[in-house]
Amino acid sequence: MLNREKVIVMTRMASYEEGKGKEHLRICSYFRSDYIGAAILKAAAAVTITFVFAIALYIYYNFEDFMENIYQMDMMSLVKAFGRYYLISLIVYVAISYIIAFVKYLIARSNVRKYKNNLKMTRKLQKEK
Amino acid sequence: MKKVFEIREKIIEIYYKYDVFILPVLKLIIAFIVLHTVNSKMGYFTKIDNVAVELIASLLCSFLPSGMILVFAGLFTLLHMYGLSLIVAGLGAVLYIVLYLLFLRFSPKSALVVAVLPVLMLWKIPYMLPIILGLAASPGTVVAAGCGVVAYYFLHIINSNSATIATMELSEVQDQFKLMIDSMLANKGMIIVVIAFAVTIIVVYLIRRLPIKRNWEIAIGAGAVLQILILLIGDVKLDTGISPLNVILGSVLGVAIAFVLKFFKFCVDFNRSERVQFEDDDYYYYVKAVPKINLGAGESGRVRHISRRMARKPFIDSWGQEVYDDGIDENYDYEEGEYYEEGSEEYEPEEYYEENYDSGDEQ
Repeated sequence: MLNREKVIVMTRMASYEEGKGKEHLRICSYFRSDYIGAAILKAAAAVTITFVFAIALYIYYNFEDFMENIYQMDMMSLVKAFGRYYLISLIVYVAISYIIAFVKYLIARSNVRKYKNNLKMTRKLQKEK
Repeated sequence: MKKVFEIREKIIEIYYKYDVFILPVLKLIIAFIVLHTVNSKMGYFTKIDNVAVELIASLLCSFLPSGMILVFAGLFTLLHMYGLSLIVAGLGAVLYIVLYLLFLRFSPKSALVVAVLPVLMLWKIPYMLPIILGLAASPGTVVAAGCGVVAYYFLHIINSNSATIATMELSEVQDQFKLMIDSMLANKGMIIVVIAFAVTIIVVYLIRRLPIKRNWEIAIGAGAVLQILILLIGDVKLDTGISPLNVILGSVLGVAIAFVLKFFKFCVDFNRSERVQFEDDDYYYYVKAVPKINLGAGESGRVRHISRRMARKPFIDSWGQEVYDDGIDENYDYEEGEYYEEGSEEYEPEEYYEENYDSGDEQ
């Protein structure tokens, strides 16, 4: 005999698993610190790669000036300026990525907790049968 | 008016019945339009500039995830840039990589917006999209919209300077590079459009989620007015070259489409029907879950009976509490003709869906 309520619960769970549950369950398979740490590392890598591109484009744009003045140029101050911009952009972007990862983890954990409560309900309904 | 409702129900019925076929066909059409537009506007790489290639790519896109439309569009544009100039292709590749690394990886599901927005901008009707995105999507689409605008302006600069770039010698590669960079940096219109779209999407999204009456109407109106104001003020102050007539007409079109969306919204769950299968000790279950499409009542929203659906206790209650409660009070005697209005506090499918349990449960 079909237990209608159990079917509804299990249908909702299956629907969740095939939809947003995939992402949420993946996120919750990590500890929060690991998930956020990984997000920060990816953010740092993204900023670094972008900055390398930016410096390359900047140098290529001013290539003639660089070649003409390379011996008169204050390289240290240029490197310090690049370093300053890199640090500022790194800190800002990593902070934003941290907040996004934190919020994503909270939402995932909230939904997975409800999903696990659903599992308990299914077991309860199964026992009542 | 009754006829309109009947037509609506018919459309929704057909959509749910044949959604397995409708969605791939839609993806095919969108992919073909995007790729054909790219080819017709650029066309510097003649090997891909033919309908057969566009059709094959579109067919692939119809079966693959919708983000692949963006991948193919990016590939096509890069090939055309390569056909024009190697340095332009290099710059394009760097731009796409940076946009992905810094922005698009946060909202990969909005990739279709990045592909479609440049096409809409080409057709001079992009101003409806932020209002629609604010109503139908999440704030993450701000990122995708911004990337779409930047991509459009980059491609527009390439097309504007293609004659100059094509006539340059190989030794003038740095001049090509400087021309492109100077054009991008001088383009204030791009910044104003990105800001206008971002603000519009966020404002529309926030207002439509407020627990107030007519929240959708207020959101649509506020979004349209804000967008027009930002774009026109930006044009006056920075001389961006944005056409005020296009802005106003586009926003009005966006408002019209938004109201059509609202007409269907409370009847159609955009998650569509779902097919799931699972088993327990006794049975295998093959379930098709179809969201309910009407109130079981006439056009006034007046219902004859309260169904399980009306008692909007969340299916999943908050943490640690009793998790399954259909909310029906067995002792309450519902009166004949008791009803609720769409948009009333008792009926907030989106808030329920997003805040309570994302199982595709729209109830």
